[in-house]
Amino acid sequence: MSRLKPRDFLKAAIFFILLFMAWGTIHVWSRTMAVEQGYCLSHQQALKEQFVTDNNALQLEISTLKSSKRLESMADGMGLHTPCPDQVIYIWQDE
Amino acid sequence: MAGRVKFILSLFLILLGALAIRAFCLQVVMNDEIISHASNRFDCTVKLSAHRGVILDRRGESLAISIAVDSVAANPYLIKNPYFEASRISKILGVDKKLLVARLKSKKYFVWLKRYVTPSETAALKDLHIKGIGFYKESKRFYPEGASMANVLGIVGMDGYGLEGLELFYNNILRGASKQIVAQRDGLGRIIYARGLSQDFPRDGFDLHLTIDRRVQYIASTVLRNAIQRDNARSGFVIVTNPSTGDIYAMASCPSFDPNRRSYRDLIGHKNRIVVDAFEPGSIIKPFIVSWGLDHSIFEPSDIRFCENGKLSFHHITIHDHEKYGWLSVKDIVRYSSNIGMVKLGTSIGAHDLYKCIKAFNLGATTGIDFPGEARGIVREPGRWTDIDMANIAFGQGVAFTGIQLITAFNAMVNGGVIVKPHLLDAITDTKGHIIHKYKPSIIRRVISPKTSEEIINIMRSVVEDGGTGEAAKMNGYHVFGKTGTAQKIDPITGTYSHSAYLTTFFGGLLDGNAKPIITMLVCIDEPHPYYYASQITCPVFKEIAGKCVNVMNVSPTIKIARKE
Repeated sequence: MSRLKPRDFLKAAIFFILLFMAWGTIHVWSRTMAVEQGYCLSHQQALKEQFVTDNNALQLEISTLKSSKRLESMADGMGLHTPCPDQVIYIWQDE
Repeated sequence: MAGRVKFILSLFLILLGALAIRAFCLQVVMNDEIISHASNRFDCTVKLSAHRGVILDRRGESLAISIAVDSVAANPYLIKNPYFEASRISKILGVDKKLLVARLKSKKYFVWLKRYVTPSETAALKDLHIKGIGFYKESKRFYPEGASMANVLGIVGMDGYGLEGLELFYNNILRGASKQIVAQRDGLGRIIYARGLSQDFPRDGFDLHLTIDRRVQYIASTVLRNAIQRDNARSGFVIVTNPSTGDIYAMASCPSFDPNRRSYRDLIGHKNRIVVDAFEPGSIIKPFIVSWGLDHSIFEPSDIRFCENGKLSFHHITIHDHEKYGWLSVKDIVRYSSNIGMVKLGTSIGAHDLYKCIKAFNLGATTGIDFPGEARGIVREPGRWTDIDMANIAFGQGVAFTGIQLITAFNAMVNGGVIVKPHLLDAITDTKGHIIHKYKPSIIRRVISPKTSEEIINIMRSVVEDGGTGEAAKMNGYHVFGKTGTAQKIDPITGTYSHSAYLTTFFGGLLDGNAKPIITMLVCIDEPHPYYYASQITCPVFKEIAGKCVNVMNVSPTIKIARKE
């Protein structure tokens, strides 16, 4: 059985150190990516919340603008009134 | 040379060994301790709040919607000059300065200064750059229709839970499910979702689509409020329904309250009287008894009874009619609302069958409407009735029903004879608009035959014709049917029927071209003064609401009117 030469031992050590460094680099890179994606997700989540809030605020605005009370007061302001029964003319099918 | 290499190699090996031992210690031996340290420093719990669902009317218009608004809080330990800062904050927020000083001087780390501030107030407060003041997003519920829908929708508390009305009844559906997740926080306090977000949570609340039409609701509440003011009445309600499906188009109570102000000073206005208040129905009970008698062939519409010229001595009491009637047919007893005629018809039915009639129409029992706090009403067992009790019940005294029971029974009487469960919910959808649940009309049981139903509609049509008690409800171009009711109220001091306090009611409906009822309505006004007859009080309210409803609901007239040349 031949003895391991010091040079071979050094080569093996360098190989393992390089392997360890590569593993470390990949680990750090993946962690950095995860944190970056985490920030991105956090930003998207905040954006989604903002959109939902904006959407609801706009829906509320539409409902408030279309509320019966507001429309009636605006119509009154313009002199519009519900027609009296004898003002409504129905067109019958046989006419 | 070899010795030096060996030395260096050995050194490397020793260092690697030390590194491995240290790594082993950190990764295995001290694992829990280190993870705990890291968690304390970087991890935080974030609550992903579910958005409360929207409540919409039958046409998809929003009736209740939540939006995020700012609330202002302070850490009193960081406020250097509470008096000066309170003065500045008070001017912007409109909060009492003394109250703010007390809060800013308190020995707490967190005090609310004002909940739900406006965007302009937030901006003005931020411009002051006061250290120790913070802004927090909170969800606030808005009700665009204001007081007209308040008794039906109810309100939501500060914590986002429904407290009254449909907000309470459907709270579990509306509020969704929040979720707390563990995230990380960086040195600047920013949230990092490094472990991702789960797909299924939080689940936003579902949207409720109601059977209510907000235009009809507005018409009903406005006309009712005006009538109560005009007639100096205490309160009142109106309910508009579809008799075939049990859909409720409008449910207005007066007095009401502004749900956007969340005031609890006057709780009377928070009641939905249609569901929670039971009252003696008065003459509107008469068509139920007559239809029961007709259905069981106890009498015919053309049978006649002597109405004692307006005064009947019955045991030790005297029963009066408002006019001196002689012989009246069954149809005319309803048309002219003769109490004496009804006593005679009630006597021919008998106490046990009268009780059966009331129970068959589901009066004095909950209807199962999707609204909290429904009252049962009061109907005693027939074994405890005296002859006088039976006579009183025949014209609507001695029993108490809710408005929703009466309109449900009325619908059963005119829709062909079946009790249909009344309901406010039409459908439930998710945030993307997919239907989760669609309500289907629920028939409880048959009460009278379709033939009897047609007969009783014809009898009630005569009520709103010339000479009938409900003549004031007659509408040009439409076939209207209905029944008036004017019930004496019990005087709480004497315990006897009052001669000054009345409850005036009218229930009626409109027929389509095929003589089928399409809209039914119950109008009730409590203690009007000085006039109290239904023909003067509730019939005009019915006519006005129905006249406006046919326009917004596109109900064509059924009677041709000669056009003016």
